[in-house]
Amino acid sequence: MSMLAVRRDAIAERIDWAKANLFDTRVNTAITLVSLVAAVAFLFLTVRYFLFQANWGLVALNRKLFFVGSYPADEAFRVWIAMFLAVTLIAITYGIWGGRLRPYLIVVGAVAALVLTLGLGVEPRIEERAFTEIIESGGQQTTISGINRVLVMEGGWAPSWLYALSLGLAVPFGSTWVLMAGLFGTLAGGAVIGKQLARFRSNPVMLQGMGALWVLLIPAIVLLQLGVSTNSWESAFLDIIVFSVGVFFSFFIGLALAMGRVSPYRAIRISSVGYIEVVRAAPLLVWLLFATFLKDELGPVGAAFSSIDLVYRVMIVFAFFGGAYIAEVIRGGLQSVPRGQREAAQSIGLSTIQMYTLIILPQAIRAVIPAIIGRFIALWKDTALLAAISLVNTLEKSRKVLGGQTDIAEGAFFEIYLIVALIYWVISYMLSRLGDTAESRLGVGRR
Amino acid sequence: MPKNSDYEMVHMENVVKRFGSFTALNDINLSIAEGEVVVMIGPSGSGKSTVLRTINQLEKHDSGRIIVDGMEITDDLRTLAQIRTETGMVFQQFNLFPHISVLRNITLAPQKVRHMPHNEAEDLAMQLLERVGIPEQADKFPGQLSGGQQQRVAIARALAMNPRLMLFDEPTSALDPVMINEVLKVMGELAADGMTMICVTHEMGFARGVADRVIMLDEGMIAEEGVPNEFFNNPQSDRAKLFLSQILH
Repeated sequence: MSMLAVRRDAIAERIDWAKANLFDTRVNTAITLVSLVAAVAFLFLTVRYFLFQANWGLVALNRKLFFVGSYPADEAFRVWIAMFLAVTLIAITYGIWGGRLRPYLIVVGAVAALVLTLGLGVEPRIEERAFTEIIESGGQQTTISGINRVLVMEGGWAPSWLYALSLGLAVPFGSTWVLMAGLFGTLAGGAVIGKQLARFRSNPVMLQGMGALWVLLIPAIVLLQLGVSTNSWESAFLDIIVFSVGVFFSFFIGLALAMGRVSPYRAIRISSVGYIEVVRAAPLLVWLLFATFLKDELGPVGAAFSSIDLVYRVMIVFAFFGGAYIAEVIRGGLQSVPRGQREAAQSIGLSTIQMYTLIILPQAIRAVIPAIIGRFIALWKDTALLAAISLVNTLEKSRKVLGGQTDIAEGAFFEIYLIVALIYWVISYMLSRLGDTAESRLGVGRR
Repeated sequence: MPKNSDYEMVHMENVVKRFGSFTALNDINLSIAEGEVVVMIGPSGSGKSTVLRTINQLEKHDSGRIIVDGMEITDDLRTLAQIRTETGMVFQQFNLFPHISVLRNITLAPQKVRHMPHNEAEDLAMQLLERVGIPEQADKFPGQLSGGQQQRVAIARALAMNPRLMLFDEPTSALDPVMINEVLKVMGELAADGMTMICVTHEMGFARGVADRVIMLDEGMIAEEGVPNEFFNNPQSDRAKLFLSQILH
């Protein structure tokens, strides 16, 4: 059978399926047609909005503000180094444990092509234009003259909305362009190198080495930023760094609390349960407000805590708040490990610590990876609350952008919040994919 | 065959174990010699498994003395650890570690407890897998094996610590008949090699063929004991007669 015939058969099969399932009765046919019209209309309106109606100028103009806020340009290398470290590790890890290489490289390549070429030659800028307006009211005419600021985007070869969407790199072959190209190159190259290392996937040295690099990544990124006052930590950069540190420590705090709950010592059990119940009983926002306004109410402990920089205090709150939830998730995992596993571990002479680290925890944590990732995603989106304690996160920055520049992009609220949502989505989606991959990789042998 | 030396491997004296208001072991006195193969039988709830589980202290006994290979069980954790490494246990539900390979299941304890080098531990594990007849399964995960194969891996795992005493807690009860035989064969070979064994089992053929002594428990007490032929052919107590009539139709 020729390829064409096979294809024709496949199409015929689908038509048959549609006839049998979508157009079999009058009611079904009506429902199908109405749904079809609704779907097409929705698609049309969405595309029309994105391409022709939305004003992406404000987003394009303020792209730096969304990512790093008012981070000083002279110190930007710190963020770039952090990004390169993270991207290298992510890419190599994907190569070793992730899925297939080709679709990954296609996606990376496509995004790189879009971002790197669409920005070429575009210079979005604000021009001031004189205007004269005649207002009629009550039969009287008033002439108002003034200066209006408008956003102009010129140059390049693609329509302007594409430049804006690319969150473009305004300076062609400038330093930003080269660095971005380098980042995409690292994303691709790291994965290819990782693929070469994939055959050592279950080698203990490899596992411990990569584990150590990941554990070191977050302290390294924080240390890199120490030269810049936390007052300049803003926007997505602030959110990501608070989340990363919070999530990193929350896992270990949660692990410790979960172990505390099953401790043979009553005092440890009771304090673990007490801690978890108290922390979970109040919303994160309340804890953040406590952390912000605490002075010396709790004696020297409170005074010491309040002397810490606000951003670090917030990280501590995220770690301890997240930890209480992670603890309950891990406890569920511990309960899912059959008692026989513990007995078998004891009967071959493992110590209690060995029994937990080698036998029980690997199984317990594996069982609750989806729930842990769920908590991480929730914690990521909780960074939106930083706006309430006068820290300038992505959300707050977008409001400032809107508030300060209504004259050039009046009513661009929807566009701005779409971009904010996109930033939250990208990280959430990465976490979710990470969870899926971890689950399938660690699930080996459980089937 | 090196059997029944004078050395006492297990000594239990007035051992009592209660679970709440239920008395699982009621004054058990038991002596098992090095190289001896003992089969324990009895109705469910009679305390057979509990005897095994107090010997390696998966259950803490309430009173009485237990001495294993010359070491008395106390609250001292080091003695307990020592006793557990010298005692291999095989469970009804296999209890293999599902997240690591068959080979790693076996090498884990020698490496982590005895600090045996990696290569040496793997060589040992392969030898043991040869001995239980499934060397080709080394790189699989427990979930990919049949029940009989899993139980043989469990025996190999217990043997990896080179134990002086093996405890079998209904090792064939979760298996179908074909698999029962492959596990019993391995146990028979182990007995022939002179291993001291205490087996809780319902396999009367194994008890007749391999055991040196049969002990029947009922309501937490030893109801009757004797060499297999006498015990099966001429039971003395009414309880033993009743129990045998129920299982040997």
